[in-house]
Amino acid sequence: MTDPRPGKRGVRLLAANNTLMLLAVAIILFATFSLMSQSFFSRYNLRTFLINLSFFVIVATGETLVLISGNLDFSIGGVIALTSVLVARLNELGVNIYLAMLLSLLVGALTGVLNGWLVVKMKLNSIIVTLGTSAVTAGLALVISNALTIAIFEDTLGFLGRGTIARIPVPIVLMAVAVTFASIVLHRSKSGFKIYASGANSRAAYISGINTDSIQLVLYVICGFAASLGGLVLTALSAVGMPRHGVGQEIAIITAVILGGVPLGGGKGSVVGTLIGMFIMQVIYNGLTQLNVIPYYIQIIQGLLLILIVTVYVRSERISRGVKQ
Amino acid sequence: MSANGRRQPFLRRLVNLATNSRTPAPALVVFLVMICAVFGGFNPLFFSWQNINSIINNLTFIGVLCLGMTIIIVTGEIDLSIGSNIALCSVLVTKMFDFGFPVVAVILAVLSIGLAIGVLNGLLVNAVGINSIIATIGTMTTLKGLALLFTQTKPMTVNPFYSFLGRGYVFQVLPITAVYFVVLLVAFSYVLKYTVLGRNLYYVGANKVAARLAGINVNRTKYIAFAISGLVAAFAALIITSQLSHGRPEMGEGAELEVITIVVLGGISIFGGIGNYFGVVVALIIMTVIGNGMVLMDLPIFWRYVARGVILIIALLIDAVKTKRRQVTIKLKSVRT
Repeated sequence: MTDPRPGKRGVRLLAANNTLMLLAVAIILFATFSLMSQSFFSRYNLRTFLINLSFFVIVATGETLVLISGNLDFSIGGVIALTSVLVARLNELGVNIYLAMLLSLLVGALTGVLNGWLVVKMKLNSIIVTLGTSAVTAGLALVISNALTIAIFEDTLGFLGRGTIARIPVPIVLMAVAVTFASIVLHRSKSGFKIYASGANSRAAYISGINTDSIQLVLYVICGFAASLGGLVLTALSAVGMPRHGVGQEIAIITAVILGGVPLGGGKGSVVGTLIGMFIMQVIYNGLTQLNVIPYYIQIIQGLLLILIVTVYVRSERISRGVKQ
Repeated sequence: MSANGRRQPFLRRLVNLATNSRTPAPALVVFLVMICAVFGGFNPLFFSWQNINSIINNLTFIGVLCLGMTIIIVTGEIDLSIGSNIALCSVLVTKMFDFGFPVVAVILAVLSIGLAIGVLNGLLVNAVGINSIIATIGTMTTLKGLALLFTQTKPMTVNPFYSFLGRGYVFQVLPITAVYFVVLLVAFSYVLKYTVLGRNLYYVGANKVAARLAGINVNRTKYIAFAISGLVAAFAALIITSQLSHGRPEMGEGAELEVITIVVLGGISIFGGIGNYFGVVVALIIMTVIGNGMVLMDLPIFWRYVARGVILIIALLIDAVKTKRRQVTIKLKSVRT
């Protein structure tokens, strides 16, 4: 922890997964945008901001768990699209809305089972496999919807996006539940310890009697389920099932998870870190939009941010391991 | 394979054929003949000269990309940024023609931009030390944003000579792009098989530490692989803009997945160090024929994405089974000695 070179201290702090420092960055960014733009700190925008944030955080919670256990899941974008289109299409066909929602949630869970089986049992590279399942799910979403947007005006589903519980919007409640649940599992249960262990060194964990395979598989299922839930929330918010929902957002979500302190190999990090990471990214996104910046710049910033964050982590990892470069 | 003399089920034998031989090419050729028969049965137009010409025309764009991706994957790395690289390059072609650049200048400029992007990827992987998948996803997002930023809806000034470069026919029969592809294929095969650089690419992919200890400059080899990948993507962008006479930021979207699918299906191990171009070319023809046949069968285009994902997963499974067998063999050998 003690580094004689003063110049590296910032890097070291970030490397030590200093959630406080991330929080400071988040607050500084938030304050800056509030000062720069009148509309940013308006009640209406903050509400929109928080609801958008909750959609992302619900999905990112699952991704965080998978990443901590040492894998990656790129299929979440496709799962969101497929869930969204499926629920709208089933509703259009006159299927009971509860059944439709249940079936759509199953999509994510089943994709998770497939991902988990391919990665854990068949020992395939998790990134390439989930890019494959992402192509399948996004393709099926296009097939089902015929690339059209399907309107869905359904109060039961709409409640997930537009409803309130005790005057708090439902997506925010769902986000709070997801983050609390995942935090309790990670930090206050035996399974949480096993998740960290299988990410930090899956071989050692396996030898110590932890069933790393079943843990990683279950986490894939949870991640798929979370993505489906996020898909339902997004459908409810926008009142349309759309095959473009969620496409490409897996990159934003994974960037946020890494920014939140989960290293690429897994074994470290927390859901609260992810929440703050996502908060930072959404503040940048929302703030730049309020400042009338062309959205394409935001995409460029997102890509550069991913490279920058990973660079910082890789460098600090090397410094802390004492590898000379 | 039938040690106990019993006939094995068809599926089992097919899996054996695909996973046992050094290259999956024989199994792929059988599969190719099968799907050609099916598509030809559904629509006799499939075997018309016009359709075969269109298959060849479609094949070259993805085929050129496969040449570069093979080199990257053999080296044990991956380049997901090629799709966005194409998008950016095609948009820049439009821009430069708008500014009135001469054809040669445009071609040279675009090729050097592609090369620069490749070197940038190499820099992120080598000098910074980021996992190549994540690094190229970062550049993918950034380049896509740049391409969208530069977009102009104005149609491109079509230069007849530039159009001819991608649309012309040799002896009025063979698409000129097929000639480019064959020339490049021969050159790439030669480099991969018969030159020091080609051998180095295999060694680096098979075992980086051993390669370094054997005196191979691992970093330089990886730089070259990434540079080639970027250069090839720029060349593909030139082909597609010339064929379609315009450039837009959606060009090349999803190309990286299709190309990886073909390369892995063609027997290039995703773990690096194994495979050759023969299987890749057969896999390339298979994927192009599937795309073409689906159009002829009037299936919605979206089924192609689904098929692509499914085939990618199957190809990865075959690769994993083969790798597992190879590791078992190596273990057995080491026990014996």
